[in-house]
Amino acid sequence: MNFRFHRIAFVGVLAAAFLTAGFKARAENGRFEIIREMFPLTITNSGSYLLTEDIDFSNSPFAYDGITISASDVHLDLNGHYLMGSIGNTDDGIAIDPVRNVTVENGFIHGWGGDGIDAGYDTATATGCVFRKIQTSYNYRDGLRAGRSAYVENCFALRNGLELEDLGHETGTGILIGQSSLARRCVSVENWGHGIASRSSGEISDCIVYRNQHDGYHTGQGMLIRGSVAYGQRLNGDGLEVDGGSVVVDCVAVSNNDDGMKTRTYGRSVFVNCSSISNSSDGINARVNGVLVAECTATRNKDDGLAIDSRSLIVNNLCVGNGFISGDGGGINIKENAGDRCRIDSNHLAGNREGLRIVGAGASQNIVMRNSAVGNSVNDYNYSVNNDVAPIRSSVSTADPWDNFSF
Amino acid sequence: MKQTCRLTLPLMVLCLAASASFASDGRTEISQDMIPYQIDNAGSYVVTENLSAGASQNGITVNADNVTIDLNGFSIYGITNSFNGIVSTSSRINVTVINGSVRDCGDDGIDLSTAVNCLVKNVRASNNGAAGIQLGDASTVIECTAIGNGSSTNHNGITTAGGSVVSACVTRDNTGDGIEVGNASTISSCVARENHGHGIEAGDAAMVTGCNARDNDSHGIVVGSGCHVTDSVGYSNDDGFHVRGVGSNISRCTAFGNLLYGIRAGSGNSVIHSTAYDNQVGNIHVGSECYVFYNNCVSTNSSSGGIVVDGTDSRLENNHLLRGAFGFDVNGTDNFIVKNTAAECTTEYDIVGGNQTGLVVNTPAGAGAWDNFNF
Repeated sequence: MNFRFHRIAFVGVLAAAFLTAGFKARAENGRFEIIREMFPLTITNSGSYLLTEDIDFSNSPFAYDGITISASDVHLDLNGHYLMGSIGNTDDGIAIDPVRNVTVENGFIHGWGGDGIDAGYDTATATGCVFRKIQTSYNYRDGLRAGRSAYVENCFALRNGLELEDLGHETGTGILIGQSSLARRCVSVENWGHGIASRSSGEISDCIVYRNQHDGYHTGQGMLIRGSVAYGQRLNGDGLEVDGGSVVVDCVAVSNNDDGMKTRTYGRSVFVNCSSISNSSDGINARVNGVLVAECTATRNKDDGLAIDSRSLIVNNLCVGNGFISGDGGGINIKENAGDRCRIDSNHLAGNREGLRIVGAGASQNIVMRNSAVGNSVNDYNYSVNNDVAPIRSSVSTADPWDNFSF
Repeated sequence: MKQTCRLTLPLMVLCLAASASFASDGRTEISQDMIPYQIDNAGSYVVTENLSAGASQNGITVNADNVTIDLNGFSIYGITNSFNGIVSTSSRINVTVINGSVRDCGDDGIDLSTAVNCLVKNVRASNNGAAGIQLGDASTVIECTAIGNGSSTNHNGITTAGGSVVSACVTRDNTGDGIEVGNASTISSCVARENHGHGIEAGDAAMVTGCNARDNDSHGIVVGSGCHVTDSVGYSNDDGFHVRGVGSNISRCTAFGNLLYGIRAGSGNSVIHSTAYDNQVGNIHVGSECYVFYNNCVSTNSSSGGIVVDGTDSRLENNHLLRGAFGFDVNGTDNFIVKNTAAECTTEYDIVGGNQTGLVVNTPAGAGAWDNFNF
């Protein structure tokens, strides 16, 4: 009884001291120190803040955001500590208001009823925030929502949104970056939504998305995605899906439950030096206008290796063993009725259901040259008459420079 | 009031005494007298001195999620019959180990294979009886070394399961692979030398970039299906680069002085913009359905040569092959061989019938568009 009374009194005095003194407790380096008694904490002044201990509300009711940042120019160092919430409310581990230039780094955000960190994604977002070495896991909604013009580096998202009912593809996403943001060296694993989602005009590089429920990467227009891996996305998940005008280079997509890679709507995207293997639909689905696919490999995808629409350049690709499930698949397949004016040049098509397939009623005026096709099951080349297909030779010895080959 | 003060003071002293195992920064301190030590609560832990694990003991057992262990520059070391330096129990998540050494343990240096999302950074794992560092899914190993691990065969320096990142690590003289990762992992800027298995071994959908594998007893860099290997070097291994699966791409790599092939690509893969030279059996070997273009091969070995094709249906284009016993040694059929250049070989184009081979001519003057060259 006495012990309990005095413990409460002792903690209360401490709390009162901190509350009245605000952030007067400073580390040697001048940063404001944060302790458990300050929670729920709202940071209203710019400055540098340091979390000094693990914060664990997992076994106690705590119906607040853990830390709310409502000032610009705040640097919050979690100092390797954990910020653990409790499922059962809708609060975030760290909520960042629509301010500017907030940095959060070096910590773990785990088990919150809302998002791990929420700096916004679409409207009313924070701007110019930096997130480094942040790990989010088992949060009820998204792992990290980084706001717009954000820089996200070495962050990790695991099993956010897990076991939720499906609230939409972007709920339960590991990492979301708003327009004109960068995500580098991040890993997103087994989240209920997408692995990494982005709005337009940013960059995702050297990242891994692994066994997420929806798309591995799901982005808006004008993105650069480089050196990244997408493996084993589950429920109708493409490995990588970008909107138009994006560049995808040096990426791999393997064993995803929909397309390996896909560009949608606007077209004009670029895929260079990518590999797309053993996906449940197309290897690269570029069934929109004006796409460049070069030096890519598409192998053993259930539908087409490369599915193409109009005004695209398809050059120096290797397509092997595609198209055996759909019944109309091929190594390269210009599927759409209006698939016209593509250049199909110097590709090697081996062991597909059909090598090159251009049979849509409106698929015309495609120019096909210098390709080699061998060992495809149904046809090496299957095309309608309104296309410009260079002669298909079975011997190279008398071939002209632009001839195709079938042998 | 007086009584309250008399009670409060001893309680405050008790509080201070109870926190004696906490560092000033709030982390729990681990010292030798606590070994073997089991972590049962989430939190941050710091080692305050070298720790020794005795016979049949683990050094530190992680029995909780969300744990950070800072070795603080100290070592965990074992004796012959000790177990692991650091080990996790059952399914754990978010375990971090940083800044120190694990050595001479009877089993693994660090075994967090039951944990996902581990981070091991700036750790030296050496002379442990089994693996150096072994982690579960979605883990990161960065700026670590693993040297001389494995008292018997097949113990790797660094092992991670799928979805992992290994970067800026050095492995050497381990009895298994230097580095082995599961599917969908990336390995970058790593060195693997003199390991008794492969230098680097990856599953499917791996990205290997900027790595160097030398003098390993088996292959230098081995990958599965759907992998990219770029900007890497394989020197003096069995094969420099070895692809086990399909749909992989080796580009901008150099393989030289390997005992078998420089690049052995298997079937359904691409080899692009790479250099292979002085590999003892052949510089590049492919099976079926490969695309091989813009590679440069040189061989000074009189029994070796440029590109060996033992399968069918590949396209070989714009390669440059110099010296050795052969430029092309094509044993399968239905391959498409055009626009290559070869010179100074005993036989530049040793190609069996049944392939589509551009004419072999000596000069570009008057040559056809698909011709190969012997000059």
